[in-house]
Amino acid sequence: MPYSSLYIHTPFCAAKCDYCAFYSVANASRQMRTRYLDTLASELERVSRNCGALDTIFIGGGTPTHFTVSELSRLMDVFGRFFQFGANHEFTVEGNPGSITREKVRVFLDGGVNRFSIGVQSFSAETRRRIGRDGEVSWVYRAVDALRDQGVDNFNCDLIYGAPLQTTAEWELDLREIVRLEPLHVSTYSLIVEPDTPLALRGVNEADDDLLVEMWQLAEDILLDQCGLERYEVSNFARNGHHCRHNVDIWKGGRFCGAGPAACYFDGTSRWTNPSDLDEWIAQAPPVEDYLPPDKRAVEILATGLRTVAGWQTAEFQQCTGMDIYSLCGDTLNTLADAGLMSVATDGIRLTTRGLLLADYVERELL
Amino acid sequence: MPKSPFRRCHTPNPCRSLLITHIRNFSIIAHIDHGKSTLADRFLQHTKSIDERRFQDQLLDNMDLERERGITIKSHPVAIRYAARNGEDYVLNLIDTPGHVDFSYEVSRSLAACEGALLLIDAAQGVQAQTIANVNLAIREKLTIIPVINKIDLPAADVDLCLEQLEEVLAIPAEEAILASAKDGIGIDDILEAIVDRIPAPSEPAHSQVQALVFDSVYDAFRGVVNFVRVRSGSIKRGDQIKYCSNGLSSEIKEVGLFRPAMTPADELATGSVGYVIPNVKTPEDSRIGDTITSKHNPCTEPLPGFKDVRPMVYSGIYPIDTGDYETLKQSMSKLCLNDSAFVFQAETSVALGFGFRCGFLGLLHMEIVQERLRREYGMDIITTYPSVIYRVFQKSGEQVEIDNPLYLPDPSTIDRIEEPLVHASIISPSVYIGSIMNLIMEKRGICLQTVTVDQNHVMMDAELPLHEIVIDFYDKLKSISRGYASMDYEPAGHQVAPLVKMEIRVNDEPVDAFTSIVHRDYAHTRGKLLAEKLKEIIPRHLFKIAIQAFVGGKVVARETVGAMRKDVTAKCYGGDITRKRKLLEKQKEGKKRMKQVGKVSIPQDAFVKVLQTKSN
Ligand SMILES: Nc1nc2c(ncn2[C@@H]2O[C@H](COP(=O)(O)OP(=O)(O)OP(=O)(O)O)[C@@H](O)[C@H]2O)c(=O)[nH]1
Ligand code: SF4
Ligand SMILES: [Mg+2]
Repeated sequence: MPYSSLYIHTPFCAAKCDYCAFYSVANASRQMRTRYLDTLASELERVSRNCGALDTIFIGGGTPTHFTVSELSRLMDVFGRFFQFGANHEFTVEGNPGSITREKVRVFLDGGVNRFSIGVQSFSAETRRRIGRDGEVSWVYRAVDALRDQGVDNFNCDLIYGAPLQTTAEWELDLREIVRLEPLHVSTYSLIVEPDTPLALRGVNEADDDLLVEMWQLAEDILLDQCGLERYEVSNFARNGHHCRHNVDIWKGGRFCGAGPAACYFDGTSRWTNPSDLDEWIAQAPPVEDYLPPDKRAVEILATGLRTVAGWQTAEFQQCTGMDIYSLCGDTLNTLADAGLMSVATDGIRLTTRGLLLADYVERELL
Repeated sequence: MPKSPFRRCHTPNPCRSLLITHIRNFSIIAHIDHGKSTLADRFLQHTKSIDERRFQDQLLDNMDLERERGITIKSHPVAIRYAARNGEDYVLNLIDTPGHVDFSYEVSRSLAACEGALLLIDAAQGVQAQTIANVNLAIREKLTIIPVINKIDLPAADVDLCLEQLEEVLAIPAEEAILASAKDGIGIDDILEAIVDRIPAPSEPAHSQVQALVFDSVYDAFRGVVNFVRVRSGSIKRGDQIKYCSNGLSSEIKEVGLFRPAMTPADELATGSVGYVIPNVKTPEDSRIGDTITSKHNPCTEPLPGFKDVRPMVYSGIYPIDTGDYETLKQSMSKLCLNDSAFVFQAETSVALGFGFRCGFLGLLHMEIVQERLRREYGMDIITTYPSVIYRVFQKSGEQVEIDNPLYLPDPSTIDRIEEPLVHASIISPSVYIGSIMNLIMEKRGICLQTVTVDQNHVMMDAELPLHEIVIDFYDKLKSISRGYASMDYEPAGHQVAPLVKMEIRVNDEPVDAFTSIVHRDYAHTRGKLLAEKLKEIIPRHLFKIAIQAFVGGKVVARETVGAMRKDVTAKCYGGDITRKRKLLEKQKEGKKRMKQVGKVSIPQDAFVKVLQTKSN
């Protein structure tokens, strides 16, 4: 079966954020970006041989909009040369407010992009400073104007909560400001202090459980009331079913391929990850395989899919993994249901609100 | 006249004529950090006993732990050859000793192998508590003492004051002192000459039967027991049939040798020398420190006076994390015991921790070092329980029991009285801190017996304190209020009756026996609160609330709650994150399996160690 889903990783940013654990480099030279685009072109060609018409494409990073207009034109050209779209495709590009311009949006739109994702993170200068996030708040409005100007309504905004010293009142201001931008999709991420990031090295702690739960609930209430955005995954909200199909597919165990350093692809059995290093990737160092026996893989897919609010339909899981949910881990599911973390019915299972908040606990129990 | 004892050792029939008059055996003793190991370095370099390319600071401190912490833990013997100004060659057997109070037993055993002692005094610090304690040990062994004022290079050095203290406090004539800097190599020649001139050669034995004192040992994974000996009379060589006086066990000697400083085989260990012998003994329990080695066929009539048994001051439980490791742990402890005769152990069980051992130590540092050595040298994964001293419990029935594990304190209704061990502490400190130190002593339930001036700026205080308080944190507090300047030595000083009670910790209503302790009634609330607060920090959130309670006599004296876990979810989980997250969760799950299960609650292994770090206010 040819692949119909593709992820492209662009590893460049204007500046490195203090909390970031993604593979990206700041201050890359033009030369480096060119070498990246050269290698990407050959990798895309290789990848395209296994692909049919694409249903979902996601260019993430890093900051895809960090490239110059001409570099982006080249990227989209290369892409267009090797790939075709299926009917009704979804093509998302991530970007940062500081580098989203009308010209760049135009280049993307011309190349088939129809969905954008803006890294807003916070409207508070104080919070931005505390988490080491570069850029001016005003850039956000400029970026949204650029999108609207080119007729783009389908965009997502990323927000971070649980930043050091952030109060629920401040979080509420961020949420109310986002609502004014009327996005079709919002992602709210509680700040994770990843090992070895500047944040971790500064000894910053993640916020307390009770505060985070309050903020989680506040997001749910405001986004729904003010903007009709409904939570459909742990961190994701959408209006009128504008879910990110690319990610939903991945949560539900779908196969996808990838290109770029640190990009990953899943062939249904193993997950392969490219080296998280530009030079190694350019030198075509092989991806690292994460193989799991079918039942273990099925459990992983089960847990990942449970991150969606809808959870799993029994038949859907059976079709995706070839296994029966209840024979796979019925006992654990019942224990989790008894603990109030899950609702179990004959036609499907899903996590309760408490269960969603404890999805990692649930996954540990299932593993 | 043979001039070189070493050269003779390498001729076919060598050491019989090794001149006993050309051997000097001495230890370097001092308060902690006064420069013993650094001075030993200079001796090794000065006498070219070590290849310069392989030289490193504090060369004799060869255990990882010693190098990491910058302190000497074990005594280290080394044989050096010295060409004296009189044109003769000498063998100097030096033993570098530790300075910390917990290891004074190491010092006393080393001194038993010597005729003399180099006493170092840090010129900037002057006479300190262990200086006095170690001088007393040397005097008891009737050793010749050579005082050395070290670190005279320091800007803060006050040589006159040190000389005054030498006379006033130690009753050693100031003119005997040699001024030195081990760091800058000042005075090294003078010290070496003084060793030759002032320290007597080993005395000629009265008989010819073999008598060698085992003053230390190690267990070698390949060769079994290695005994460090001082040969008092006769000689020992490879192939000799020997016998241990204590248990009559005989064995053939596989190898004898000298410390240079690595163990180096020699043909023979002659009368008066210090070296090692390797008998064919594979069971560590068969060899005892303080034993006398003699000849199997021509044994001596009496063993040498050995060492008096040391009584451990502190007890705690050591348990294998993996219950399957019990036997290996036991064997590892036996081997470690051979190298650390102050460490004792005995089997015990705990509801929370399973099968393990009750272990005795000379102090908290000793306890820490033993744990670390078990972990590193023997690769053991272990948990340690809260330390305790030995209590004497007088029961109404007239029966008397000694309790080293708080768990076994009898029912209070059957107890007439409990006595706790006391120590006599000598504290030397700059006079300005005297007030705060007095307060600290009182706060720790002690009494100050007397205060004497050491010199115009220093005082020495004698105090009586419960050992338990010393074990917990007295020393840390003393150091912090005196900005590190006060020093302390202590020795057992009988017992006193005290209102002591058993404090139990319950986690979600389940008693955790490993946390049980004996506390003074008036301190039960404070201590309980500290313990409960610490546990609150350590025990991870569970799906449900967890109550942590400290109980005394069935009543709650302190209580804390670990709130229920409410949020535990990775914020971002996209294509590239899934593998990484799963691996992390798998690791966490493994970690949880290694926790101790108490009822429904999982307690991390390090909880048992971290409660030890709970300092009382
Ligand atoms: N300035 C100066 N520092 C010295 C001198 N001798 C030793 N030191 C320093 O003092 C510290 C302690 O030296 P050690 O030789 O380890 O002391 P020690 O007496 O062996 O210590 P323990 O074995 O732990 O009791 C080290 O930092 C040495 O470098 C000296 O003559 N002058
Ligand atoms: S912009 Fe995004 S990818 Fe770049 S450093 Fe910041 S968080 Fe990381
Ligand atoms: Mg030393």
